[in-house]
Amino acid sequence: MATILPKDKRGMSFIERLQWIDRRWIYLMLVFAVALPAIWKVVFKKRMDLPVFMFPDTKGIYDTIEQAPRDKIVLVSADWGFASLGENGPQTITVCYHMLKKGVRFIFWSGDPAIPGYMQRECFDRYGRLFGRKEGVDYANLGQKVIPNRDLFAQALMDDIPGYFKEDRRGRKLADLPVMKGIKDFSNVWLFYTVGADPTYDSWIGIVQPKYKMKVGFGSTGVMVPQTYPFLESGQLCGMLSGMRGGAEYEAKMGIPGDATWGITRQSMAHLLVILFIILGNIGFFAAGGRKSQVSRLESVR
Amino acid sequence: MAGAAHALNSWVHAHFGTWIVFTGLTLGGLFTLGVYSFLYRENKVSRICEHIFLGVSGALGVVVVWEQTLLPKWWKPFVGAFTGDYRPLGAFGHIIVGAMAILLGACWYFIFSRKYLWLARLVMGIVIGATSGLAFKKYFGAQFPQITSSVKLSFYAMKTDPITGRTALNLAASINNLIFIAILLSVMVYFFFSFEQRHFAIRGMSRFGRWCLMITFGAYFGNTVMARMALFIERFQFVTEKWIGRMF
Repeated sequence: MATILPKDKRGMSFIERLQWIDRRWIYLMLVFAVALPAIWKVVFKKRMDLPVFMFPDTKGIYDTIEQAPRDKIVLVSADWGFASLGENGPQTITVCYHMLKKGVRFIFWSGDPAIPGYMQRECFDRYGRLFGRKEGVDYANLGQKVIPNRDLFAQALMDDIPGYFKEDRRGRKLADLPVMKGIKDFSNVWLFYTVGADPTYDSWIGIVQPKYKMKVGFGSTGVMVPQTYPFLESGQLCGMLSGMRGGAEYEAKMGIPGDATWGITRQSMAHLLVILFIILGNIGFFAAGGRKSQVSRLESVR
Repeated sequence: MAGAAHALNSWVHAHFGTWIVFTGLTLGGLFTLGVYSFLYRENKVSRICEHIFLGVSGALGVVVVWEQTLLPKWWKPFVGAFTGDYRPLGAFGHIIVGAMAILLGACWYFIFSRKYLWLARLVMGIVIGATSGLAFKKYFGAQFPQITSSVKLSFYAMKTDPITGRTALNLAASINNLIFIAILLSVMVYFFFSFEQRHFAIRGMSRFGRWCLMITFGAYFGNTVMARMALFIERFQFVTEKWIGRMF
């Protein structure tokens, strides 16, 4: 439904005009709000980082990785693409950083063709070198794995991990890699960490978890967060990284401030602006006589 | 002219390392700005960017399906059965599986024929049967623990001190339980349409339930805005820091 905007704003008071601001001015102010931390950095010669506190949902993932036993493995499924890089990128990188640092064995794959290369460049190569971890020994990057139906994939994978995946991204037989020593099925999996813009955890908690009782963690986009909380409450998910906030909290805990830490300050500025607009809009609405006046205004425009 | 080209080449290598990185980042930056120009008004640049993205992702999708699914899982085993390169199921097994895939896959296209529509229905039936069986298993496994965790019979929660071993009332968890039960019951009352809600207590609970639902929808909407903002911030950081920022 198209919004009806009055073309002639003459005769309106300032308060009334607040309700009819052109959306392009709002976009411009939003750009300014997001740019504010960078302007601050240029003017005051230091970063404007707001404090970040770790929520229990983020701590759940952190604690699970800290408690990972030596004989078990973590599976990381990056079910996201560059469209949600701002949220899912830091969630994947920081958790893999944690595992590389602690020496937790893990297998990584993605449904997107670009993400395995991106993760290899931005995380595995860089931090692997830093902590002396080797591909094939401490972790395996399986590359892109096309998953047409996640339920069938979960059903097929859970009883034979090396048999299903067969090869890593370099074409080496997965069963022969040292990282897979003693790993056969999901009874050897400590944590299944899935990151995505969809409820990608549902097949794993619905099909695999009842049989193998492994822990499931989720890196979620902001949109998915409210509908995922019930699964945290019931204990089916051991933890969740919620949007950019989750990534920033994990970065702060790991001591590697990155894109999410920098982004969450910008996001806070944008939130403050949105709150300001809501307050101004409501002041305008009530000062103009509330709903009755609004309706008569619209009718006069028609 | 040669001097200018040399200067440009030096500048690109000094700021971006290689021409490939420079070209990739510049195209990414220009396309980002092109798509966002839509926010000012509908224009040809944003349309062109949109169509290029759609074309590229469509073409990539075809290549990915062939490279990742059809080639390794159908073509290689099928052809390998004849050439003898690939026969874990035996030559006959691979020929049968490969031929079945062609036949059953081709049956989908009979959806366009009135006379042979039953062939398409046959394949649909197989697919729906297989997926619905698995979907039932999944929903039972995922949702049943939700029901059991929602039944919180005790209003109060206890906590044990790990050092002294003493048990005491966990006030925060108890209040949380109480709020949970109140919201659960009131929202369920709101959705009782079998009888008219005349009694003031029922009406009050129903109204409270409606308010709780509205707060939940507000949380959903707030998170949606937050997610969109995060995506915009990522693009903003890319354009200002990773593209333009490297030029200076």
